[in-house]
This record gives sequence, C-alpha cells and structure tokens, in this order.
Amino acid sequence: MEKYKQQVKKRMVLLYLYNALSLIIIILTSIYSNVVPEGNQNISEMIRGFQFGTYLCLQLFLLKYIIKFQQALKTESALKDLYIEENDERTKFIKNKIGGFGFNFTLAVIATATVTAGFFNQLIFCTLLGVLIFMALTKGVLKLYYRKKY
Amino acid sequence: MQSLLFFLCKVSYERGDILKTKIASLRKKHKLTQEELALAVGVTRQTITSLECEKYTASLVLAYKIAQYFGLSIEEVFDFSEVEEL
Repeated sequence: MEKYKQQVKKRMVLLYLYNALSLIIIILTSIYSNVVPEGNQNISEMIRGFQFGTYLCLQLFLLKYIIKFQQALKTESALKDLYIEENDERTKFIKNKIGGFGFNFTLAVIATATVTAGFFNQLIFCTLLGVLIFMALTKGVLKLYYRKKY
Repeated sequence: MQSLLFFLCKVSYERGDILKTKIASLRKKHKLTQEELALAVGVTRQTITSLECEKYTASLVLAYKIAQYFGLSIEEVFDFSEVEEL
C-alpha cells in the first residue's frame, strides 16, 4: 500500500501541474475571446458558451480528483477504498469492453479540437461538436449496457 | 425490423461460460455482508453482487482469493460442471 501511496502523491503533483497549465490556457484564450469566426451570431454565442463550459468542466474535473486524492491520503482505510475502486476487476473489465483508454483519449482530443476550431471556423466547430456529442452518448450508453450486463 | 432488432439484442446479451458459485451461501454461513467480503478480497461490492447473480465470471486471481478467504479450494466455491469442453 506504501507504493500505491507514493503513486497517488505523484498523481497529485501532476494534477496540480495540469491545473496550473489549464489555468494559463484559460487566461490566454479569454484574452483572445473576442476572436470569433465570422458567420451566424447565434453560433458565435454558442461557441463562446461551449468554450467557457469546457474550461469550467476541466477545472471542476481536476478539482474533484485533487480533493479525492487528498482525502484518500488522510487515512489508510480511505486509501484502501480508493485502491479497490481503481483496481476492481469488474470495473476494469467493463472499461476494456467500452474501449478504455483509447476512447477517453479520442474524446479528449476531439474536445480540444472542438474548442480550438471555435476560434477559426463555425462549420468545423459544429461538425466536431456533433462528433463529440455522438461519441459521448455512445460511451454513456455502452457503460450503462455493460454495467447492467455484468 | 423490430423482431430482427430484438434478435440482435438477445444474441449480443447472451453470455458464454458463466460459472455458478456458492459465494452467497458461504457468505451467509460465515455471517458476512457483501461489503465485508468485497473489502477482504479487494473488489467492490458490485463485483460480489455480480458474481453471486452469476452475471460475471471471476478471474483466476479473484477466484483464488475468495476460495482462500473461506479456506476452501476453487472447485469447492465455483461449479465447473457446466463449462463446455472443447
């Protein structure tokens, strides 16, 4: 368990780094937030909303994991609970069935591409947003299906 | 079309070799809750539920851990009689 504790501590450091990096990106992009591609005014507003929502979600996501790891490091039983939660073989099995790391990585890349496209072209933004929504829905449905099946 | 869809869903939902287990009866005999057994063998309560409902087949390591916990052999906890032979 000591080895796992060290691993969690390392992850905490990485999360702090990610958080700092994402904050810098958010600040930089908010400076250039007036740079919105020409076209439909409603879509431009939607792009701004989407970008703000993504930044907020990213921050909340990182914050959630920081709090989770901090609490786990407080007591031995909480650390064991986290270890079981992360290493449960049924959860891993379901994750593998869905596509695991590959699916999550693709989702993250498409989300980043969607946010970036929002600065340049409305059509590309809308297309990528459609793909992102479809992939997220597929993942959700598969997760529900396999959780019920196994 | 609807019947084809139903058939496809049914086929995809059918499972292969799912082992029958005596985990539920052994757990009751030892007066253990699912949570307690799960904590002892290092899995979540949902995994124990799935094993007891015969929805999920345990890995060799988990089967060994459960059998060890009850002081039995794997064959005494899991029923291999219905596993198809090639």
